[in-house]
Amino acid sequence: MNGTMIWNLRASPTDYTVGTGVYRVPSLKAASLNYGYRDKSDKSRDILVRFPADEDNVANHHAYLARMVTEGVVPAEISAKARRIWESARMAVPNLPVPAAVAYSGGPLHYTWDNGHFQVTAEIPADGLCEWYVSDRHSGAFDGGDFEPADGLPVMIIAGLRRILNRSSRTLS
Amino acid sequence: MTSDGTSDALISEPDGTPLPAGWSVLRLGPQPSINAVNDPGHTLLASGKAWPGLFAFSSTERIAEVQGLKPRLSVWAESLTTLHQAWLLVGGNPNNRIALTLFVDLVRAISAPDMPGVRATPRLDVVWERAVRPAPDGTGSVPDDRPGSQGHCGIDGLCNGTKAQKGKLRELLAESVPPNGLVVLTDDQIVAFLSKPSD
Repeated sequence: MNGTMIWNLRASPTDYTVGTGVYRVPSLKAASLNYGYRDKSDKSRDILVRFPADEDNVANHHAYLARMVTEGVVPAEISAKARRIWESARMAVPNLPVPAAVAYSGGPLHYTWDNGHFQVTAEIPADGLCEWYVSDRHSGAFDGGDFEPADGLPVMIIAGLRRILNRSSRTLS
Repeated sequence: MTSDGTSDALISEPDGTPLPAGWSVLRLGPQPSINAVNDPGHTLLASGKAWPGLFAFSSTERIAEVQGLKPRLSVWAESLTTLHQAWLLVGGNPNNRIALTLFVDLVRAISAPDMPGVRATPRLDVVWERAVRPAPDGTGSVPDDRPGSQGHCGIDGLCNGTKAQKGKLRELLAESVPPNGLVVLTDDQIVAFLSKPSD
């Protein structure tokens, strides 16, 4: 990335080298980043910066979900539910990285987001409700339950996913 | 082998009998997404640490849980079952790409804390469990006597507690996997497993 604007990094999920001129990203850990800056009238603005690797990760993830079906690992219903959960999560938390996924033969498929401080998981079976789990390692708080992907993501999942992006945010209560 | 390096032989015992202290067991897990291994964003996975999804019940075990049977999570005593044998015993499925080592003593230290109105769960246990395989006629299961089957065990207690506590148990189980305790099987290993009979 090249540029001459003075960036004010907000809500960084990791450590980035930021300054004027050439911007280096030593460890790409997010699908995309929200940068905050001030325009000519000194008004605060946000800009969403997407990295090429971001789209690669998303494409890889979608390919993985499709491949698990074509290889007969999981039924199409599981892949469709996983895709729905991922898209809902991505919509609710725009900069969310793709989850680590693992698929058992015949199901379930299991999603994990983890930044070392917070952990969010979703277990996606072929039949029945999905299960969610959110954990804050620092405070020791944790919660979990069932959900139906077609009904949207539980509030606790969305709250947990937001904290995945910002480990310095408040702990779960 | 035992975690303290002793070499007394381990002998399989009747179903439900706890394993002696000091031994390690092997857990096979399925193929992770490409992202799980290669994406540096997944810091835990990139550093070779396990994650809770590797301790999910299979579809068969989930059905048993729904029926109130409290299934155990399948593992193998490493001194009685080699990785090759375990891989073949669970079906010789190329989708099984993760091998995890767990120490019995660490597993036995795990319980999910209490929550408002809910007690802490009992500690997990590792017990002997007779290996079975689907019956040839497709009805039920029959004892599995293939090489290495005598090492089959189960992690008991993962069905206890609330949904949140069950999630906690799996999180703690993943954290109990020692450094270098997670191995991703390569394509070459899978080919070798498929081409050679069990040792």
